[in-house]
Amino acid sequence: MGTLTARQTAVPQLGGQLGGVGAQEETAGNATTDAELVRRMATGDQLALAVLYERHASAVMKSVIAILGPTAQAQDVLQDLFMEAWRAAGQYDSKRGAVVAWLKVRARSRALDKLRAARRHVQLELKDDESAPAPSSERRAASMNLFEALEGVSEQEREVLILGYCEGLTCGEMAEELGIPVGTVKSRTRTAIAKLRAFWEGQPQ
Amino acid sequence: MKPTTEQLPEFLEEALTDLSSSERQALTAWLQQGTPQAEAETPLTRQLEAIRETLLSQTSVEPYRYAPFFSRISQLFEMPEEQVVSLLTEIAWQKAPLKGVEFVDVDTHLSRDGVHAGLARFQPSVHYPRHRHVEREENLILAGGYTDDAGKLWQAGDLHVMDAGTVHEYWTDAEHGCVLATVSDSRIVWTSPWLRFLSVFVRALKRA
Repeated sequence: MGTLTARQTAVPQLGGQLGGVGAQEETAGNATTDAELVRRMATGDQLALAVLYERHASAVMKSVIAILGPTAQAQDVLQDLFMEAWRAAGQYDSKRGAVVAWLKVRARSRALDKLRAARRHVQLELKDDESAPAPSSERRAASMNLFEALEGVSEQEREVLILGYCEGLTCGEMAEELGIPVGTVKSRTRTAIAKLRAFWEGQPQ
Repeated sequence: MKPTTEQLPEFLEEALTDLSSSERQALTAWLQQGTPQAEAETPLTRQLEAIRETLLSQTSVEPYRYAPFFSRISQLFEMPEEQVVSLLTEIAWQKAPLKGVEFVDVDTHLSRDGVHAGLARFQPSVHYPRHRHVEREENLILAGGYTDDAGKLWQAGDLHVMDAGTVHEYWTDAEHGCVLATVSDSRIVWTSPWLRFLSVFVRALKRA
C-alpha cells in the first residue's frame, strides 16, 4: 500500500478545519512555485489554495480596492476570485502568463463589473425617488464620480494607473510587465491624469 | 484614483518629469489635493483573514470541496456543470455489499447505451478484491487514492482507464480512503467463486 503525497487531502467530512490547514501550510513549501500550487489545486489540494491566497491576496485586494474602495464589494470580489481560481485551476496555462497576472487581470475585470453594476443601481435609485435626499449621497456621489472618471480613461491608461498606484510599479517596471516602451507608459500616465483632472475640475463642488 | 498623501508615487514623478515646469507644477498641485475616498471600515489584514476563513470553509465541504473537478466530472458524465454541482451538494451514499464501500448511482446523459455511472466512497485501507473488467471503465479520483496490485498509485486528479479484460485488485489509502467518479460499460466480474456467488445472491435480493 503506497502512501499518498502531501497533495492528497482527506476524503470529505473534513469540515472547515481552518486551524489544520494553517498548521499544514509548511508542507506546501515556500519554495513551491505559483504554477505548481495551481497544478496542485487542480488535483483538489486545498493546502495549495491556502498558500496561494497567503501569497497574493493582499496585492490582489489592493488592486480591487483601488477601483471599488475598501468596501464589502471589494471583499466579495476577492472571495469570488479565489473560488474561481480553485474551480478553474485545471484550465490555467503557465505559457499564457504568470499566476499573479492571471489573478489580477480577473480581479480588475470583476471589480469594474461591480462598479458598473453599482452605478446602474444608483441611477435606478435616483430615478425612483429623485426628490428624496439620500442618506449616503456624498459617498454614492463619490462612487459615481470615480466610475465616471475611470470611464473617461482608456483601458490601457487605467492599467498604468492601477499598476502604479496599487502595485507600486515604476514606469520601467510597468514597461517590462506590459511589454511596451517606458515613454509609452509615461505618456499614458500623463494622458490619464490629464483626463481625470479635467473630469474632476468639471464636477460641481 | 488620486493619491491622498502629499508624496506622489514614483511612477507619477517619473511620468511628470518630461512635462514643462508649469504643466508639472499644475498637475502636481492638483494630484496633491486628494479626493474623497470611502472610509476604511475594517483593517485590510482583518478583511483578508475573514475572507480566507470563508474560502477555506467553503472549499472543505461538498460541493465546493470538489470544485476543481466540476468540469472533468461534467465531461465524464456528459452532464452540465450546474447539474454536477447539484449532484455533489447532497450525495445520498448507499452502503455497498463490500464493507467500507459506499456507492451512489448517477443518472447521466451519456449517449451510449448500457453505461453504468456513479460515485464511490471507500474508507481507508479497504481491499477491493480481484476482479475482471468485461468492458472499459474510467475512474476519476476526486479525493484520496488507491494502489493497485502492480504497485501503481492512483491519486486525486488521476483518470484511471481500465480496458476490457483488465484484471486487478487494489487497496485504498490508509489515511484518506478514496472518493471517485466512475463510468463503466458493464459490471465487473469477481475472480473469486465465493464473491461471484455472493454477487448473484445480492442482485437477486435487490430484484426481490
